[in-house]
Amino acid sequence: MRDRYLEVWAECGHAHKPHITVLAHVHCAPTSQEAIDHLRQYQPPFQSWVISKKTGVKPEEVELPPRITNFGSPECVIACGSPQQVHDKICQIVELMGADRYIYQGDYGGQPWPKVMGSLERFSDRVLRQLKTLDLAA
Amino acid sequence: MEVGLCSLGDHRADPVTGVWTTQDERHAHIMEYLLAAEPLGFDTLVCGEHHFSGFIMSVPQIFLAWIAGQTERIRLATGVTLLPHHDPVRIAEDFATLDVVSDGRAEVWVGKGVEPYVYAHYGQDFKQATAMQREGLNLLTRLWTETDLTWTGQFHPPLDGVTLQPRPVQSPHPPIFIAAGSLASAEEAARLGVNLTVTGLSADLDSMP
Repeated sequence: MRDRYLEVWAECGHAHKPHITVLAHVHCAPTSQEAIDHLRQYQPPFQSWVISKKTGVKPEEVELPPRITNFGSPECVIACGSPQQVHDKICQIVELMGADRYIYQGDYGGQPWPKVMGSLERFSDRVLRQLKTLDLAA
Repeated sequence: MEVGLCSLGDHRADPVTGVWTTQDERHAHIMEYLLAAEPLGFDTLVCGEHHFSGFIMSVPQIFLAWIAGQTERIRLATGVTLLPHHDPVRIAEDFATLDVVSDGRAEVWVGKGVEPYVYAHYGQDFKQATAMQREGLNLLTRLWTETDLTWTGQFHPPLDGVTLQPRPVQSPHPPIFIAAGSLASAEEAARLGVNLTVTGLSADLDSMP
């Protein structure tokens, strides 16, 4: 999608520079296993509900692709894991999408509020500053 | 790289315990989360818009205006403004006002939405969504950049010599992004010279270079 967007942008000869923002789900726990154990309970029901609303298929009949459910795997698009794993996953997605900005979405799916805020504060302490110094031109 | 924080404001039971928070509790949580963004170091705050569903945030610009009064630097964006459902004149006024009260921090992310049934509730035809969005974007940008505007379109009544007030702070206007869930939407954004926002859920990591 990124390549096609930039290709059409170039064909149109716009004088200004395009910006790309990517938004995705994040859960940052002290360890990888804690993150996976938590999100395994919350991501699939939420994602099935959202897809159900789009498609009309019953939530219990939605088949989720592995890139949404295999937390911690290279193919997974959700930044779920320890602070280092969350950092690395976001860098991977940003590089793939050619994005200049990443948006953290962690407040969803009926998660217990202390878990939502704990992930957010851990991300802020351990990941955010490193991401902000990321040199996208490098 | 800039990093932002988003709440789309869904209100769901905890799927493990089955327990629901009340709407008041959920709203209090959403507002705590939004207010935490700037002190924690985020650059952008994003609020969603949904209608008639399990999301309880339907007018993101009001949340953003509330945040604007309590922050100094964080950018304020909608993820997304469902432009086909709204009068583009009103959206232009809303976001010009948000830009004024935030001293130039407003962004508008527009999209057609992912819940086709909402169009019926607004008395609209989902098949016209792309055309409505295109016309809305044209009118939005012209209202922000021109004065004494005379305009005709397919969906909105003609305008004869109008000047939108207030004028936005940012020049030429607050940044606009199109939320693309398909290749066609990304191409449309590029043709219109509009920035792009995509969900990471659409990323195919097997295609990494």
